[in-house]
Amino acid sequence: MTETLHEQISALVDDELAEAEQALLIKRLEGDVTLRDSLLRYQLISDSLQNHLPRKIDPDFNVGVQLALQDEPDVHARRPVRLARLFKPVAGIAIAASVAVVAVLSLQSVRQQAPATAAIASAPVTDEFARTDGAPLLANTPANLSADAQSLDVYLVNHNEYAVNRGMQGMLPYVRFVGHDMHVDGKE
Amino acid sequence: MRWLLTALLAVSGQVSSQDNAHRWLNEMSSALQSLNYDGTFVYLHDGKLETMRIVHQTGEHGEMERLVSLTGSPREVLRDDRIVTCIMADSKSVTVGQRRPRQPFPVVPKDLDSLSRYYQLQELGEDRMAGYVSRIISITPRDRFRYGYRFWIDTGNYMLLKSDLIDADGEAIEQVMFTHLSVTNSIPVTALQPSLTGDGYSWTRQGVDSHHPAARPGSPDWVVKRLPVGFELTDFQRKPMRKDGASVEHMVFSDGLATMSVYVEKLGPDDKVFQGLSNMGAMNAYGAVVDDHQVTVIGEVPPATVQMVASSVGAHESGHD
Repeated sequence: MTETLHEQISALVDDELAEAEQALLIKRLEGDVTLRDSLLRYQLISDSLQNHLPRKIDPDFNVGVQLALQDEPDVHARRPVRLARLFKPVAGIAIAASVAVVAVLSLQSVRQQAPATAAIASAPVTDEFARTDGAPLLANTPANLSADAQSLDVYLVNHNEYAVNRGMQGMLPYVRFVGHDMHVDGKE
Repeated sequence: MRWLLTALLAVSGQVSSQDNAHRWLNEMSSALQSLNYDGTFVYLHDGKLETMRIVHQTGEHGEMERLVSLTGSPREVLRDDRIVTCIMADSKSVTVGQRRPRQPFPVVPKDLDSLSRYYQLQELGEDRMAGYVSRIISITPRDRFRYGYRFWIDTGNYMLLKSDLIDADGEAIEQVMFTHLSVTNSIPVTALQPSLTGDGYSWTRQGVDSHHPAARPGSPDWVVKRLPVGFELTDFQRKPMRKDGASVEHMVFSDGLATMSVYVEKLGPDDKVFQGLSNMGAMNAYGAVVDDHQVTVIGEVPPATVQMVASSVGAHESGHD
């Protein structure tokens, strides 16, 4: 995605994008999943920075929004959604509206990641090292590095415990883990 | 005489600032581990922003912490006094590791004289952050082999409100900033429950550590020949971390703030090797192959440092298997 697109999305979230550009960007958003994901992130970050995030977002909220939208197909067919107006609603409904936008646009990805039944807390933890052959934690890992990427996962978790206990980083080692994937530039 | 007095006052001021900075860091470390809090923060790295939530509780059963991504791919890390669990929805994987026993408070090295040889500690004044008045403390490395830090610490309860990780040029390469923080007497149990589950995921468990009889530390078969000044061996383990059950040598080096791990494992005939540089934010890793062994160095130090260390690993004179 180009820098211009980033700027346009940012401006859209801030309701500072010109009318003409809004129409073009919304057109692009309709057909570009990556762009929609970026919009979601910008919106959530904006909400977070402005303390507009609720303490807890109901994971089923998006389902309710989808059902509500299904009941009103004609509205969407005739009139494009004005995202920019949704982003800056009047005080009092700001949180609900922004969550609704997030929920609608993220419906697909959330559904794909729907939680299964077994709770993580009940998973057995043994004293023996038992390594599985599943996919590595690191996404976008070159195929020739898949095996060592798994080793890196194990090493990262192991190293983090030393880094957390010693030094000034506090929670940072795990923030990195949650925050993004490792970029592997290695070669075979 | 006036110049002497001025010089003495200047030195005295520096020492006082350093002592104060050290005191603030101690308080911050204690607050991070002892307070109950629920906060939302943004994590800025490589020009990207991620939003996360952290929930932390210290009670009669010890510490419990939950870190969860609010943007991007769902990921969670859960920690208590026994285990740390990393759940990654994107790769459908769960990694469970045993926690190491906590160092007693404070986490900040007590030996200020030793620390000040490699870092300069300073107070940089006050600022408002997340709606609270904060004191800014800076840790600047004295060479290019390590990173620096800037912390914004709440003047009321010493909680960390913002942290920057700084490279040798003074540029922030990672930033963590709370946008909302609630410090309370107790945390609801539900706030510490994971929202992701591990059903259908691949699981990796690490259970063996220093106190386990299977860990046979002995002395390292491998030696690191080049380390930045100030880094010393602080831990050594030999652990069955490979999936075939074979042992991996793990050496930990620290200068008091930064930590580096060196892992050495014998390569099997079907193993793929990892050579070159990788990174996860400011955490860098470098892989090298030495005498049919995979050497992996990981640490919160600049890329050149992990590369230098990895390239200097060799067999100890007493030999290796």
